[in-house]
Amino acid sequence: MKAAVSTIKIVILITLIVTSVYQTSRLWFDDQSDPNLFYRVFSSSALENLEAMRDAGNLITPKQLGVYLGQPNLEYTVVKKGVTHYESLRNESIKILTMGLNKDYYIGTVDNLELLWGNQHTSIHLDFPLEQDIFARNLGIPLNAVNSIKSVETILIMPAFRNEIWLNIFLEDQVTGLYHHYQVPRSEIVISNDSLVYQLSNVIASGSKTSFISTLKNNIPYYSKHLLLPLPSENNRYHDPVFMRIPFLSNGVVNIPELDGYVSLYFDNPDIMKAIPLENEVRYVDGNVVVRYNIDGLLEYNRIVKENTASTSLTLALTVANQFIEQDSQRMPTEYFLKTYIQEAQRTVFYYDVGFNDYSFVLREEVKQKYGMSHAIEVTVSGDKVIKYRRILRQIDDMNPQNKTLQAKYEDVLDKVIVEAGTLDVEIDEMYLGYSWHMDKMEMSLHWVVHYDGIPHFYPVD
Amino acid sequence: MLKQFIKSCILFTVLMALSSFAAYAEPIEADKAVFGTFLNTFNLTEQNIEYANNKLEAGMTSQELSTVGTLKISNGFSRQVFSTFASDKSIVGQGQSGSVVGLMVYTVNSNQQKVIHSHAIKTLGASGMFSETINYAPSRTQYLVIAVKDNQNITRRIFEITTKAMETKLKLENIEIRFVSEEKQVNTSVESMYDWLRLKSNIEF
Repeated sequence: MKAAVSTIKIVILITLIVTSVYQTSRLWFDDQSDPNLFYRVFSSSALENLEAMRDAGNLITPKQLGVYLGQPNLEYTVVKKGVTHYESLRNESIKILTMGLNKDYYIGTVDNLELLWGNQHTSIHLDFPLEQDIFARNLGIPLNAVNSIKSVETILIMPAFRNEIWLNIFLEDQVTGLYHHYQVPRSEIVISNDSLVYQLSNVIASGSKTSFISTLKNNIPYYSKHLLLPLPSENNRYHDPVFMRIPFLSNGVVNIPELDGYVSLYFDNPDIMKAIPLENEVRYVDGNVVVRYNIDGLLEYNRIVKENTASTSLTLALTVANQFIEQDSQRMPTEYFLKTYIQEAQRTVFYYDVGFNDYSFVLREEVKQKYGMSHAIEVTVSGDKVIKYRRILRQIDDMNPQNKTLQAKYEDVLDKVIVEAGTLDVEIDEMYLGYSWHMDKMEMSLHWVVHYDGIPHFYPVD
Repeated sequence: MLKQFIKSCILFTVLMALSSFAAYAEPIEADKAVFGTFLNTFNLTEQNIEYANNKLEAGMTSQELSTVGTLKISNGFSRQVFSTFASDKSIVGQGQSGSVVGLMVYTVNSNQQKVIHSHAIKTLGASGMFSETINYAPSRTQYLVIAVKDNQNITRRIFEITTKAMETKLKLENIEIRFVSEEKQVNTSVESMYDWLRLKSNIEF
């Protein structure tokens, strides 16, 4: 009896002690996410973090997510990131890819894509072409499922509607330009299929949309792949011009106290960081990090590390790069779009455009020359560390109200391209709307950016 | 027997009357200037753009229907007379640089006058690309004129389009119709599946 009572006492005591320690730690650290001893014990979000990590480094993220409206409109619209249906459309499409791309469902290459123009579907345009092994690894599918495809950039997914038995997936091989067809029984992917059908109907039911014309459906020559081009629209309004300024400058010199706050982000121990003013530049140094900022608004971060000899997976490298930019953009808000990457030895360099309202800021040749950069952000990753980060800093100062409606006529731009190229034999790799500016000018306006002969060309929108 | 004869006589008379009216439909006052410009550009007369005077022989392929002079329309129509649920249509094609392309949608009102619903005239640039979105008049029969002037040739094509309200489409879609048995569908290939889609809704894509 006595023993039983003392056992109960001990249990109650232990419970009380544990609770008190937990409560105290909460009081002390405000939040579990602060580095404290109990973080791992009480944190249930560890799994979510892993999931988020995987997401941050996933290369199967659409640069553009097109929805074919089917009858009666027969054109595409583009669902922008952050808009209501974006997440679910993307997620269901990727789930369908993961489950549907299987060698058993592979039919072969097709010339006739008529099937696609009968019903609604999504058209996913990746940031850049992915080689078959990278594509398979990122999707988590066996390599033999995409055996006959060299590299993927455009993916079209047409779910099975109502009583239909098959859903269809088309992958455009970026190397050969051929379309590979997979026909998957709906019964294999019922939930994702029906969910995609539902999301598509939501997009169609939602109000005013900008129409996009498909170079594939309309068989428009001059394009090397499936592109969606915006059509003139009264609903699509944009700011023009947009005025910017170089941050942390006053009267042409770097404002060190202002810059201190921003730069401290890059140091493990900001208290010992010290500014060294030089001509046209301020430098901060500690044991292994050097940060430079010059009056042209170029920020450069270098971390001296013993370089890993083992190469890092692309996914991990991208995760590291994305997290670094994410951290940076909390101080200096920006939209950023991954454009391309280079892998050399154990280093991976990622190139991003920054942008605004989903339009990229595209660097003209003269601006590239001046900064020695091809894109506004360059991140070099080695191992699990960012060893070099360069960014052209610009802040939007002021802009004209969003009162211009999009009158973009792609066919007029094509005329100019043909005249400029002096031949009908032009192959356009990319064509989109983006802001650009002339060197040293502090205002930007919207342009058509057309990539051919390997370089971007700029044409005014109106 | 007699009843049937009378019925067909009445129908015949009505049809004759309608067709004779259609042949002399003039544009309404407000549209006369635009109408005149359009006709002058392509050296056309009013009768030239009446559907009744431009009937094509049946059996033309959609490719033939979509070729107007040197202009090849890539998303054209497969029939000259059809119904659609669409409210607009973008017409995309490629022709010779320097040729002039005109589009016009008109309806005929109760006074048998032509009313212009939408129109566009464009000279093709260096790329030869033509791209224009036309609006259909809702829930009624209308005529789409596509005219092309290249070198000194003028070609035209007239389509008769009847637009139907979206509600009709939704109603139709909610009726479940089984065309083929389940076993057959398993073997559906790309082409036949497309045919099946077309069968399901006998309207323009």
